[in-house]
Amino acid sequence: MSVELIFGLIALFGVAAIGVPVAYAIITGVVVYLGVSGQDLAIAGEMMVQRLFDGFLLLAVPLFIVSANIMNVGSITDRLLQFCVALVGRFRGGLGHVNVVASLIFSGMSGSAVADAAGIGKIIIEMMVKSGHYTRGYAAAITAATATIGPIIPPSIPMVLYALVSNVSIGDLFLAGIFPGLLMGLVLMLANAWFSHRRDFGQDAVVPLSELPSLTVKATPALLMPVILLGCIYTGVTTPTEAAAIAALYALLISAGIYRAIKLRSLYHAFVDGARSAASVGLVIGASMILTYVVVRENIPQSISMFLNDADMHPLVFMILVNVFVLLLGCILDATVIILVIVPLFIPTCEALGIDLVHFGVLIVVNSMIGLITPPYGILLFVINAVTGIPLKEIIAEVWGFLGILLLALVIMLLVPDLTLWLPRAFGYQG
Amino acid sequence: MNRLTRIAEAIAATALAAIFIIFLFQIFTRYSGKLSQWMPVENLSLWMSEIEPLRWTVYLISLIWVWLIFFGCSFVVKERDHVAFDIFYQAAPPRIRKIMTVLGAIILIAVMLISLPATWDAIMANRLMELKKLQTLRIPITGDKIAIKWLFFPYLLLMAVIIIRSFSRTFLELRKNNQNTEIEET
Repeated sequence: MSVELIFGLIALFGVAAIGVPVAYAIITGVVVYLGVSGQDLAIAGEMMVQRLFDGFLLLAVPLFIVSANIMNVGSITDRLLQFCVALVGRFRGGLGHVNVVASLIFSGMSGSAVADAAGIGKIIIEMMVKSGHYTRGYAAAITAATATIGPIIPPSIPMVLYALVSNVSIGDLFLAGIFPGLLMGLVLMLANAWFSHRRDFGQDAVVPLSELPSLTVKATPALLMPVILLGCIYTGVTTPTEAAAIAALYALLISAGIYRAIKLRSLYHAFVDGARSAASVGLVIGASMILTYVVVRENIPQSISMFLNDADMHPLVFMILVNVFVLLLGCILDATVIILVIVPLFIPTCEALGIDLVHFGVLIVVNSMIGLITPPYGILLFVINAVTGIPLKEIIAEVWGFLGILLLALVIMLLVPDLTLWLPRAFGYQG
Repeated sequence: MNRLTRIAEAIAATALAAIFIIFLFQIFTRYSGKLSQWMPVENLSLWMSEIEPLRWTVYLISLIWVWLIFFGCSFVVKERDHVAFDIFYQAAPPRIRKIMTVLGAIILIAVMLISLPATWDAIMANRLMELKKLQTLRIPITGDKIAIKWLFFPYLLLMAVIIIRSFSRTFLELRKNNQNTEIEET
């Protein structure tokens, strides 16, 4: 590591620590790096724009944000909730199960955990608190935990970013996420059942089984979203990025056509909000990319690869170490930055050790999503705190149990690669 | 001021909608030939069969995307909407917060001012690295080439906005009396 890089990193972390937005902190770090090493200062801005312009796959990001926002303003959310309440609301801790199942379904439509938490999550928290059976901390904590499933089941913005840095096919990654996502849902339901039993949460209102078929029919168009998305990608009808546009169009059509729930005004706001989050996410992505440019120039990935090769490390040990590292970073760093800046450091080593990059990618994405709910810096905790007003302290006190169970799911995914790789292989992935 | 924000929001939303629609149009042009045989109206069917798949859309979409990011961050994204690592800031007492805000603003002003001349020179005088792709981007009707500097220009815009915003934040923060510092926001 060169002196100029050390200066750059000190500037980056120092400026970020006093609360300057992460993207600006990265630009600061890169400018300091360029200045100390005597390079052209214009490279920072130039690389940023150029990488954003060339990273065509990135265009899936604003499109996924659009479809998530359309889902949130349409009444799709309500219909799915009715369906979930009828399906799993009858058990003890019912609304907790509803929370998990709703997130599983919702995650098939939106690519962003934050959108899930702010949209459907907010509504479920209100339902749970109103029922009087759950503490508000519990309601918020389980919502944060289930929102992490969002980007594991396709579509997924973090997977788009990972595909960009690893050159893995986005379609394979999307397929690989399905079973791990379901596993996360399963363990969260088990945890909820156990907590509900032990803490003796009351029984929620039960919807008669006879209403289930009609509610299922109503929810079906929304349930088909992931099928359409993956169908477009796998039949080759569209590129993955175009499939994101199709997904947004589908969201628009079902909320306007079938559910008749969208007003022009709310559609406009969906686009304004979408533009706002696309711009701020895009800036972080662009900044991460110039940081990656610097890191690659400094040959850091190669040095790490050589160092680890010399250490003669077993692939499994390497995987465990990287995951622990990413988990720790997830406590303090944003998932976008982790995937775009930190993960590329380890890709050459993965290739040298013969680790499957699709498996690795799913693990990293799951891991960095768990990072979204780890205190002290967990964006999902902040978002839920912001949209519901439930104090952070209460949310954090309840989140540990769910955090533990999600980590267990991560360990299972790590040790059983087939769980991740079976589905993409069945569709022809060679690896 | 509020009205200007509204206008900026409308522009950003339009840009996002444009990306969405151009994508759909791009897919449509690729399949309209095949779809045309099922089209019952003959004129429409003929028209659809003659549409060629578009290639320039890719560059136009990317151009709008770059503008959306930098324009959006300049005028639409609020300061608190940015991804920031603010646990130290949140934990700090008001006096320290004030120092952090002012220090952060001054550092940003310095960084932007120092890198501005080189960046301006590189972008406006076309002293950029090669970017062959964009040379195929033409304005659809007139067919004129779009100069590469217009792709990079929004970065300059953002730099200028960061400098101005940081100055005004420093000024406001220094003028603000410690007594009436905002009550704890969460």
